[in-house]
Amino acid sequence: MYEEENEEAGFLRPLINAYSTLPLHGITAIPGKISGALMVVDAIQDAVPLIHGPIGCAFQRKINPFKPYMPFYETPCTDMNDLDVVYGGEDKLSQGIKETYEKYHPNLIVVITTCASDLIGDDFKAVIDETKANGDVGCEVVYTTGDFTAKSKPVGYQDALYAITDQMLCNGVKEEGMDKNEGSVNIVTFPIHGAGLKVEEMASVLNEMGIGINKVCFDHTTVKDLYELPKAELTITDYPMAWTKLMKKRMGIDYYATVRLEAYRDSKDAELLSPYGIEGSEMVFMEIAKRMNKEGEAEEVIDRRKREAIERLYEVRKGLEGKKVAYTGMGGLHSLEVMLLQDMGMKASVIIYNTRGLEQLLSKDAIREVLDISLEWARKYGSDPEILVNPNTEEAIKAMKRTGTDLAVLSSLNNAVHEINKEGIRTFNPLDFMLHHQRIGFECPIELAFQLNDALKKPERRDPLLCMLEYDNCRTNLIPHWAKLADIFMTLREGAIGDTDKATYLK
Amino acid sequence: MAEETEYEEQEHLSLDPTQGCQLIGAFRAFHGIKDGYVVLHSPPGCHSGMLLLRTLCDNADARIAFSGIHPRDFIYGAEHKALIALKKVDETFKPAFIALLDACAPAIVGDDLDAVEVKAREDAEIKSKILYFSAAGFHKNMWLGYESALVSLVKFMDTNESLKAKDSVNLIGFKDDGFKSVADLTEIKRLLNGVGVKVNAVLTADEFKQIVAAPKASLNIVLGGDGVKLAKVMNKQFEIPYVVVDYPYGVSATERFLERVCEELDKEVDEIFLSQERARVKESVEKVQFYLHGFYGLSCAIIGDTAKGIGLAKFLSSELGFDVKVLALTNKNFWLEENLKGISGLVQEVLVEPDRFEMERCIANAGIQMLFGSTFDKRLANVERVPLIRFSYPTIDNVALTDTPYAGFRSIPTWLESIVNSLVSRYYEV
Repeated sequence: MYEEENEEAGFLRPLINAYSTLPLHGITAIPGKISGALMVVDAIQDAVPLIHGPIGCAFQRKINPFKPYMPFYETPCTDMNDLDVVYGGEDKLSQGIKETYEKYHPNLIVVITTCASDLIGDDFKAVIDETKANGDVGCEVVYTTGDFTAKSKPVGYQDALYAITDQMLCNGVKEEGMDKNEGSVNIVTFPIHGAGLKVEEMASVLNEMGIGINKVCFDHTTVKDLYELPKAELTITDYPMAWTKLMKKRMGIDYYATVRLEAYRDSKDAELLSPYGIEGSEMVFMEIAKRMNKEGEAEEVIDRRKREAIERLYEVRKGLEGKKVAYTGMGGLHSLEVMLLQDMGMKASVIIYNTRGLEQLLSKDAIREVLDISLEWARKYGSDPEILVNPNTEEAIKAMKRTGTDLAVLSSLNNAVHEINKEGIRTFNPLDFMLHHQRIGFECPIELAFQLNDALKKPERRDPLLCMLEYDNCRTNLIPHWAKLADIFMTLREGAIGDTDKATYLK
Repeated sequence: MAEETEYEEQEHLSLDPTQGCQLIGAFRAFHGIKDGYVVLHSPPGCHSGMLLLRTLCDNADARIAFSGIHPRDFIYGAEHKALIALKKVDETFKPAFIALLDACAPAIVGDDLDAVEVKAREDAEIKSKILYFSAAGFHKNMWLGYESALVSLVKFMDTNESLKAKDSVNLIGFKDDGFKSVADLTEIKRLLNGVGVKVNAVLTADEFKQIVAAPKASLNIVLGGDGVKLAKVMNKQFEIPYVVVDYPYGVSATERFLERVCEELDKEVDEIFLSQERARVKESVEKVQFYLHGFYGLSCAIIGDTAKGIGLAKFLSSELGFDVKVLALTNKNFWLEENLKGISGLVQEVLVEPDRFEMERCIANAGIQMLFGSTFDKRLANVERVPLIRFSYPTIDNVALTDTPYAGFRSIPTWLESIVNSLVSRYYEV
């Protein structure tokens, strides 16, 4: 629906890929809460944002950091100035809500607060309640501050969805008074992904199991669709979401995140992090069936679908079995390495761990844990790979040559792929696969097998122009200037500078 | 002949803006210092946005860091983080100059960045020249921020009078993040060189030492009126005269540009040089003459800043014979009123700093066949099903690597290529 059926898919994918290797997210910058909230509003067809802040917050945020090829074209704001900062911006907010309604006639206005309006203490709720009570707007109005969901990330995205749930969907609605779409689920994916494309097979399997699809978000989603979310019995998301927990608390609608980070924390079962591939998909479908009391019906459907898929997969993967593959160890998160071993029957020859940048986010133990999971996966499937921690390109290439690696599954975001190609080693772009193809279902591994076979036949790239540039020895995909930008960002980013530094400053 | 130009300035309580805040204006001014660096004392959102604005048009030249402010700093302050950021940037990149800009949050909290600037200057380990510029977005809009940021550089300028250089000029109001800025600057320098004038400093698209040496120039050239505040301050402080010229789009504006500069410098314009340039332009025009006949009277809208938008409106209307239905000026400058006099009768409707929603409605109602604007106007062009020729800020979905300027005599083939190709290369089926 999103890309497959879109006649422009031919240019859309390269367009998306053109921005996929920008070293920004978490490497040299972090988008703020406004961008995350705008992602949500942008994904609701009949909603409009209203940024309560100065014009810079609205102008600059037109650039969508998650999808730079698709600006946020509508970013009205309250044009907060220094007088408002002193005397308060509540009148402007009220007027802004009215004007936004009059201009755009949306079904929902999402007020996104900014540093300026947050700090001066404008009473957003009171303004919205009063403006609505005056009858000046004929639509829903909610506000998001970034404070509702504490540390849940991405903050703006999580917070905006929470705000919609809290102030609109669950506001004054009683669970018992709600019409139900019995035996149905919601499927919710991050709007950056092509929701329609990615859940098609999942929806088909669930239907066959006797489970209905109440809503798929975000796929041409409207405010009316959002209001119907509580009709389902279960909401399925890709990652844990604060708003689904709220909906369970307020309206009793259960939730299930396919990447089960919370369950993993308790059990340390790495399979919980890997919902893709044949086994991962089976696990997800069975879990959904269990929650929907459809285990009996599900078993037959899953067995049959799985069997059929495996038969086809075994045909397709013939050229792949036993081939040696180098890849980045991610502890199974995103599942690609698991699919390579489990579904493709490939052997891990080299596992590269890039821990730079992770040090600021994870403890040493957590990083070690990620590394251990990757190694255990490899050993479980009969591989004894060479492990390289933060290698330079030369070291990585040497290891691949030494081990007779057939294919390197490495992204240009973290690796000098062009140098590897120049040395005659073929590569497969995992980012492209994750962005456009990866999904829960039994068909996905078959598609992966086709693509890997193609990658093994690709002609050699002998003289990539990218090899003309000089790269940093540690951050091997970045020229020295960008490597320094990344280093300095990691040093200065939030939390990195502690109280000791402040004491020194005050001396 | 178009009707008398109407000038509409609308009052809003809310708007979808066509320009940014002063933080962005100041950033644009300071980032033009080629061996300088910008440190934002801000939360991550402002930094991420500025980095994207730079990186999407030039993957190689982004010189911006941030101090890593956290919400808890809104209570206790984070001056120490600003100082640490300055130290790190100085140590890592060794820039000649660092501009420290604060965003809304630290400005409201009251972080004392003047004190940070003093501390940084006193720190023997910091070798870069440091400037703190108060840039909180709620104070001013983008163009005012740009003007003030340029003026703030005066304190670094060398006042030694004996250094004055004959027939040398400063270019003021040149922005290095504009579309085709490198090619434009190369062409402007070539033109000035062609009439015996040397460019001393470009504010701002130059090294810091050139900014320091700016008072050496005999004349300040203000492009389209952007940066005229700096020109006035330099006039008062260093007695350098200034001349405000149109951004040199097209033949007439380019000739006028050179004539005005030579006039101010008491020089004769080199007519041989001009006639050679005209001859080259003529060759290009000849090659597309039938298309130009065909496009005569084509209706269009222009969305751009005062300096470039007005220059382009004159070129399209006077030289190509286009019917400019709407000129939307995304931001003013101090020369706006003067500039508007120059387009009287050439443009049907002028909007100044409009609300984007209303601007788009106005352009849609005008019925256009071509749109000149920025990346943010892509949807409008698509809705109206007309070609979009990018020329204004921000252009972040086109790269400009070739030496094909939009300014000067050599701009004519570039404009003709862009305009003709945008129409004749479109797929059409009955």
